[in-house]
Amino acid sequence: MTAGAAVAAPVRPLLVTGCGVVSPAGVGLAPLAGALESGPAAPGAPEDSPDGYPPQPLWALPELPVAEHLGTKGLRHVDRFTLMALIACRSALRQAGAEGDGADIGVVVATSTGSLRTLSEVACDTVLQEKPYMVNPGNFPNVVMNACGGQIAIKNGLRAVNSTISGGQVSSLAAVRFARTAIEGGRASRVLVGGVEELVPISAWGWHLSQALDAEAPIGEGTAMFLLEDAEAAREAGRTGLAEVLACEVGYHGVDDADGRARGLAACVGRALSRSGVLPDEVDVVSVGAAGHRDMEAVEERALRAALGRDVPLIRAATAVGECYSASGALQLAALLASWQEAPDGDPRTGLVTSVGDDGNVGCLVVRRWL
Amino acid sequence: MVNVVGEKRSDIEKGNPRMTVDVSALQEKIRDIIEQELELEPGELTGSGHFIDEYDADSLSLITILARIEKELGVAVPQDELPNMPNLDGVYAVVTKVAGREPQNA
Amino acid sequence: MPDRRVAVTGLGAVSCIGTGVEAFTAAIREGRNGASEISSFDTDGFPYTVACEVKDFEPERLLRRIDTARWGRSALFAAAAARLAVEDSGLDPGDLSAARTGSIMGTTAGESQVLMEVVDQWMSQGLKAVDPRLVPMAPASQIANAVSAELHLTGDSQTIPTACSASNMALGYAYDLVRTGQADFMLAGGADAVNRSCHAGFYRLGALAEKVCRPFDVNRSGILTGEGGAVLVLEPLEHAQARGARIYGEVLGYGVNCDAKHMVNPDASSFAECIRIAHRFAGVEASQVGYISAHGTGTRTNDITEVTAVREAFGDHIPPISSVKSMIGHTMGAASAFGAIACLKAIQEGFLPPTANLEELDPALGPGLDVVPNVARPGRVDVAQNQGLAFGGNNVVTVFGRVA
Repeated sequence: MTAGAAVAAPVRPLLVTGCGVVSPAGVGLAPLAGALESGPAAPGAPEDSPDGYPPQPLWALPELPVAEHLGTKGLRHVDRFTLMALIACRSALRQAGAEGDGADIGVVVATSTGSLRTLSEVACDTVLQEKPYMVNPGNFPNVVMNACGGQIAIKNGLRAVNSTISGGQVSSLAAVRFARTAIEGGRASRVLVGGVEELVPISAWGWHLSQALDAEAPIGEGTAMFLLEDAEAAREAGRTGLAEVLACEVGYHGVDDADGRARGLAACVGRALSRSGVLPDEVDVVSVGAAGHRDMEAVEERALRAALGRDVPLIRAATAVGECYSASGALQLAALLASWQEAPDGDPRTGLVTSVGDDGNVGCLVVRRWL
Repeated sequence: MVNVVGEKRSDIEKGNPRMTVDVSALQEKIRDIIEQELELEPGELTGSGHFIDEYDADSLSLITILARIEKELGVAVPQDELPNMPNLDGVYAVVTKVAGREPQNA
Repeated sequence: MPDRRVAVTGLGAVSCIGTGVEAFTAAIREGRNGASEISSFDTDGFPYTVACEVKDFEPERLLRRIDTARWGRSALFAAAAARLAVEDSGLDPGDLSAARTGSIMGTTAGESQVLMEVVDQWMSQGLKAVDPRLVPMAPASQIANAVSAELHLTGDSQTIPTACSASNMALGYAYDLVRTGQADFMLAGGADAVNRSCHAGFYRLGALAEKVCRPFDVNRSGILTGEGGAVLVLEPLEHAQARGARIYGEVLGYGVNCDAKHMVNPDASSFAECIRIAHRFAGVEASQVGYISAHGTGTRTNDITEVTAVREAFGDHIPPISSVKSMIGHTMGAASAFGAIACLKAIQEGFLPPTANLEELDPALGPGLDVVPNVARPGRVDVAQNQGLAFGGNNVVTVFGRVA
């Protein structure tokens, strides 16, 4: 082997057999499809904050239907970040008929911060309490960023590989790549994968201070979780699904300028198409991730023109759910699936989910409609 | 809040007639904390019911109960007392004992 | 999908007992205790004030490309350890960045010191007054990105924040990426920084030792929080052999599972199953394992659970088992990577890493347990296994072998 010779072997398709979405548009794909047209019908307002909020549209979830989906017991020390994910996971497992069957199901959660609410509660307690160690022990285990993945496993009895992936804006796509590698490597036969992001004062101010978003870009929150398995195995077991997930490629171009990042994303799209056996001409639609990003939106669109050689219709998930950082890729995939549920059978047929972050990470996932 | 228990203790030592009311108020707060942390219905928690065997408690929930007793009632119970606190009666006894030897809180 | 054998050809360590793999190994051999009084945060009000801090960390001396002011302490630990690992590997950094090379880093608390700074500014002046330069430094993803930026890598760049076994998960994933031909080379490891929240939380759980970390000792009292960075260079074995590289060993495989029972309390039979999965994927029998680098945190719960699981998987013949945490504390997301370095040096140099600070082995752990007390012993190791358990029930066991 020489340098640069890593073999980009074709991938085996994975089937999405279940999907759970919790977003400012509501629970499920149907309200998300509606919101892609005209924004969320009735987004919630974020909690009151003594620090106020930056002058930016804020789209929180409508009230979280916890009891309806999760019951009332065993949730005392489960934070809101994880509650969202638990609702999405329960929906995905239910849709796939996979409840109570978790010995060989893995979990991969995308987040780059974990629950900022819990993290800052514990950190603030070390400053504000009478003694610096007077943090809430029941809350402390939620500080670790894999707390959400751990709770998903506990509440659903999922005993295979359990991971959490941080790749900034591209986290959810990197999580799908991890899930694919885990299934191919025999670490799990099925994987529940997706991303979670919560709107809290510290994240809203973080976006504002970073100046990464356009002034009118809404900051959102939400989660989308998908149950994936080898498509051929699913077919043999007589299972159907929503879509096939093909290759997912990622890369890092943090030391490059905008041109270099656009080239990096274009190359990433090229690798993903090649490993999927899909030609650029066959791409019908792209669910983009950088909508509303001051610098990265143009980078993403330039990369797509370079990789596909033409303009293709774009879906902007952020116009339906707001900016969701690490969960963006998952919500972009959900938006793509939601749009397909609304469209007549057969057309469009092949889509991409792309992402580029201010940190320099890029990613591209190829998705094929299940017919 | 920090001083409550110490004051009650001195009330007890003086034979203050309000003491039974105050002790039961303290005990009621302890009971509330435990019922919340173990997610129990009112009336479900008995004095002798074993936290771990009967109410699904674990070491983390017991430590959380201790932390709340320290923070909300001002009684710092060391964790090595946990074996003496298998049930509600045990918690009452240990908290009363510890509160009594905390002069800094009086 | 091609299935390639994966060698480890470079090791990088930034630890409280030494920087660089040779200094780290020398300290491990003598069982040096790296604990000291905490200086990275104000310990006023904390009953316990000892941790395993890297007091002499000078990132600007180790790093060549990235601006140390723009990255948090965890990221700098990872990038420095990665730079050291690449130098150790003898690979040309230009070749590395021209190839499809990536960085997968484990962490528990991410950029915890950055977050604590944000919280301090928030508490004193409000959120809108937080220094904007801290914002892009805060996400955990910056830890792997720092490695990629320092070495100019364009492959996968992800941080895996799966708590105390995170760098074993990172190693496993990076191994899979090289094994399957999705990457040419990978840098895999982990980093964490000592911080106030972590110290407070473990104290509150009653899991913190006052001064000394004594795994397997009857008088153990808990963990010491630690910090540092540990990184391994993974390379296709064939490529390493063709270039005449010094090969520490081979990643034979790994096992991963999840207890799915409790966030904090580990489960012995589930961990035993993880060990069996690791052996199956690595293609080894339990009897071939010559050394176990234990998770060995220094809590009674960990000792009992881990030894019970090892007995279940190994039967009566347990190989020598020791804990580097007795020397460097619990370096959290870096812990498994430090354990992996100990395993690979044990294979390469023929010694058994010790458990430091051992005075009296806990008889409750049962008979036939060799924890290699206090100083290293000579001993040939052909197969070593590296154990990690974590909050969330995340178990990962990596297995390394001598390349015959």
